[in-house]
Order: sequence, then C-alpha cells, then structure tokens
Amino acid sequence: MVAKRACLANSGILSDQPPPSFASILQLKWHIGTILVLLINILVLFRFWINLLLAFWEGAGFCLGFVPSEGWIETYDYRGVLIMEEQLKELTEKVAALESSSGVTNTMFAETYYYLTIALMVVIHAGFLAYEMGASRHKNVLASGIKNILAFAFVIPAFYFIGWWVYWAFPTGISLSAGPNGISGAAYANEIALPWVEYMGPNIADNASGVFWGAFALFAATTASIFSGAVIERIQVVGFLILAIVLGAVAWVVAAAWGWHSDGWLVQNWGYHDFGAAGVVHMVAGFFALGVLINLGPRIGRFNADGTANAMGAHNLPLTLVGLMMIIVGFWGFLMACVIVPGEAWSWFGDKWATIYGTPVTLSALAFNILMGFAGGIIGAWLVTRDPFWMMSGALAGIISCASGLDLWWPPLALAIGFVGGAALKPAADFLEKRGIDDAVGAVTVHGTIGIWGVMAVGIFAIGYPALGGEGAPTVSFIGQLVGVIVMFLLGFVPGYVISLVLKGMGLLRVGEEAELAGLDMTKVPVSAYPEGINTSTAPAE
Amino acid sequence: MGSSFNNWDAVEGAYYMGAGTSWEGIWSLVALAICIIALIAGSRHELEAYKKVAKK
Repeated sequence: MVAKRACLANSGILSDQPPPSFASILQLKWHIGTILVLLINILVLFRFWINLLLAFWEGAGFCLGFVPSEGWIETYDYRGVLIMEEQLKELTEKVAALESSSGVTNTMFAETYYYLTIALMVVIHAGFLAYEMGASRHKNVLASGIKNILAFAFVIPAFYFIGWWVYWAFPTGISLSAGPNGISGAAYANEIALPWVEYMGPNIADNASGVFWGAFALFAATTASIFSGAVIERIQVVGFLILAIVLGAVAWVVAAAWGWHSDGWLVQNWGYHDFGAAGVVHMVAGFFALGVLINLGPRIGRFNADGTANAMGAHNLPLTLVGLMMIIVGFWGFLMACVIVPGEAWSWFGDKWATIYGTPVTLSALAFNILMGFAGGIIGAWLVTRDPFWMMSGALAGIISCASGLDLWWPPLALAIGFVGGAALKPAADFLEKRGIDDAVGAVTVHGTIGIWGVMAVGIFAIGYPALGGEGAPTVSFIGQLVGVIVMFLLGFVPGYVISLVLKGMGLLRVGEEAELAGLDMTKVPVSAYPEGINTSTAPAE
Repeated sequence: MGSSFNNWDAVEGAYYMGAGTSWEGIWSLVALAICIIALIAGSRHELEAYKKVAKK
C-alpha cells in the first residue's frame, strides 16, 4: 500500500498538497471562458478584421507610394497628387477616344443619311416611269419608258461633268467670283468640283462629296423627269435627251446656285427663301417644258380645227396613279436631302439640323408640313375635279405648294396652302389647253404654275423671317420672292424655248407624222409592251 | 494604270485607280465620248426608223 502510494506520488497523480478549493476552480474556468470568447470573436469577425487591416494597408500604401494592387510605383512627389495626375491623364485619353469615336459615328451617320436620300429619290424615277408609261396610249408605252430611262442615264454623267461645277461656280452670278461665305466662285469650284479633282472619286478622307454630288445628281434627274412627261408621244428621243442635259446639268443648276446656296445672289440680295425647291427645281423644270411645248406642238388629233381639245386618256390609269404615289414617296427623300446634317466640318451647326441657307429646321417640321400639304392638295383637287388623276396630281401639287416654306409653316396653314394648290390644278391646266398647249401629264401646271404659288406663299405668309443664319441677314419679303419667281421662270422657259427651237431647225425635235400615227413602239422599239394584249398590241419593230 | 501603293495603311486620300495622274483626264474623255457617240448613234437609228415608217 505504501509502495503504491509512493508510485502515485512520483507520477504527480497523488499529491501531498490539499485538494483545490471551489474558488480556484471557478477562477480557472473564467480564464478558459475568456479565451473561448476571444477565439469565437476572432473566428466570427475574421472577415471584418481582415478588411479593416487591408483598408489600413491600402491607405498607408497611398501615403507611402505603394499601391497594393500595383506595387511600388516610381514617384518623385507627393503620392496622392501623382495618382490624381495619372488619373486625369487617363481620363483625358478616354475623352479624346470617345470624341474621336463620336466624330466617326457622326460622319458615318451624315454619309448614310445622304446616301439613303439618293435611294429614296430613285423611287421618284420609278414613279415617273410608271406615270408616263401609264399616261401614254398603248401604242407609245415603251417609247415613253425608254425616253424616261435614258433621261436618267444621260443626266447623271452630264451633272458629273458639268452640273456640279456650275453649282459651286455660279452663286454670285456670271462674275464667278467668291461669295461672302467663301464656298463659291470659279476658284472654289475648280478646287472641289472639276471632274478630275481628288474629291470626285473614292477618297478615304472624304465621306461627303460623293453623297452630296449623288443627291444633287438625283435632283437634276428629277428636273429631267418632270419635263419628260409633258412631251410624250411625239418628241424624238435624242432631241429630248439634249434638252434634258441642258435642263439637268445647266438650267436648274444655275437656278440652284442663285437661289439655293448661301452665297447665291438671290438669297444674299433679296432674301429669297425656297427650302424645298418649289422654284429652283419645280418652276424651272415646269417652264422649261412650256418653252419646249411651244416649239414641239400638240399631238396629232389633240386639238380640233376650231381649237377645242380632244381627250387623249391614259391607257393605264391605275399605273399612272401608282406612279404618282411613288413620286410622292420619293419626294420624302428629295426633301430630306434639302437638310444639312449637324456636327460635321461643313455643317452649319454642331447640334441642330439646318436648311441649305444655314437657318434651323427639324425633320419633324418636314413631317408635319409635307403630310398636311399632301392631304390639302388631294382634298382641293377632289373638290374641283372628282377625278383620281387630278387627285393624285393634287397630292403632289399640295407638297409643291408648301415646299418653299416647309421649314416655316404652321401645319394647318400648310394644309390650306396645299388645298389651294390642289384646287388650282385643273383650272390652270385648262388655261393652257385653251391656248393650244398639249401638256400630256400636266407637268407645266403641277410643277410650273404651282411652283409659283409655292414660292409666293412664302412671300405672303412668311415675311420677315431671316433668310440666312447669323447677324444682319436679309429677310424674306414679297418682292424678294417675286424677283425669285421671275428669275426661275426665265431660267426655265428661255433655255427650253431657245434650244428646242434650234433642235426644231435641225430636224431633231419632233418625230415624223407617219411614225406618230403608227405609234412609236412599232416604229423603233424592238419589243412589244403587251404581246398577249390588254387591247390590241402593236408588233415589235424589226 | 493600276495602283501606286502596296499597303492600305499608307492610304490617306484619294485612292481610285489613276488618282493624280493623266488617266483621270483620259477616262473622263472616254466617258464623254461614250455619251456623245451613243447620242449620235441613237439619233441615226431613230431617224432611219422614222424614214422606214414613212416609206411604208
């Protein structure tokens, strides 16, 4: 027993000391509990402490020039200032990149905008094609189509070689001097618009010239198509093409340079305002046609010996009506192309659309007034005629009536102006007919006469508006618009009359009497329009 | 004729075939000639067609 007790005493299990008291045990437990609480605290709040430590580390690092995520950076100065400078530099670079990107986007938008106007304006020509073929008698259907197609084909290169240069050279008149805006005159035109300068072909630094030229080329082709309808069924094709080239590459272009250019003398001196080209396109083309019609004469059988007229109805009125609607669709592109896109080096404004004169406009203004004029024109023609041909012509007349002031009209006024244009159509056409003028599709009336109304409407209802942007601009006036009307009439009528007179003398104006009576398709078109007949169809030429 | 550059990165301005050379003028004349010859030929064909109809 003694040995066993000694053994236990040596191993420490059995002590000679008295057993621990209750208080000492309680103290030991307290220490253990404190340690456990601390451990739990550390474990539970570990993430908090780590974050706190990292935050301190980061803050201290900035002060010491050490960025934990980037390491020590080369410094010479107070670290916070350096970091800010670097951030500013980085921000500046980002802003420059954004500006560059934004500039490219704007340039691409501007280029695409005008590109699409060209496509839309081609629809005008699809419409004129259908319109004229439908308005022809069935013996002349394809000859009328050929004439229209070729007008497009010859006016485009003519405008490339001549017209574009004329537009930029002539604004100040025949002096060919530079205008106040410095974007006109022979020297300027030689620099940008001669056929062999670098801007007149693919150029990686020039996104504008091609689409601008294209839009203007389509305006030019439109003048030829307007004229084309008036002279169907008796004009020689080549004689017609020579006239179309004179109109599309010279006559209307001089009008545009004078009245549709910010340096144009009509604008600078008279405050002439013609936003949608009622004068420079429609009037010039319409009265050019009148000048030609006087020398060309009416179709055989159109008038009786006593001067009364015989109807020569369209062989396919539905085709004519659809053609007219297509012309109107295309005119949305035409009028869209009359707007200057903002934000480019050549733009008037950095932040808003402008007219060709540098005055503000919106596409919404066009939407309001084109549609209201369109509606007014139909209603006016319907009330007067009840005839679908004149109603659709009235739609076009309504738009032309509002064209000069599309940027300015209050929409209900646009409807009223369009209404007057639509209602005036038939009486104006009858006036010409009574004087022995055979205008087969009413082109002189729709474009010429109604064009006068469109230009003068601005001189009646929009007096006082500044005609140009900036200080001291001339203002729109009745007299200024009247001067514009006289100039546009002369620029259309005189060359039309003179050139057609010369062609008549050369035997190049009118087809032979036998050919006219037999039909032009049978005479010179190697295919038949209706080989299975809608009535009887002519045989193709050999 | 043809191109004077062999790397598109070097292109900064006009890059059409014959840019800055006499080919611009030559092709302009060719295009004009096409139009004028077509008009003359078209006129001849047309006048002959009218004469043919008149003879019948």
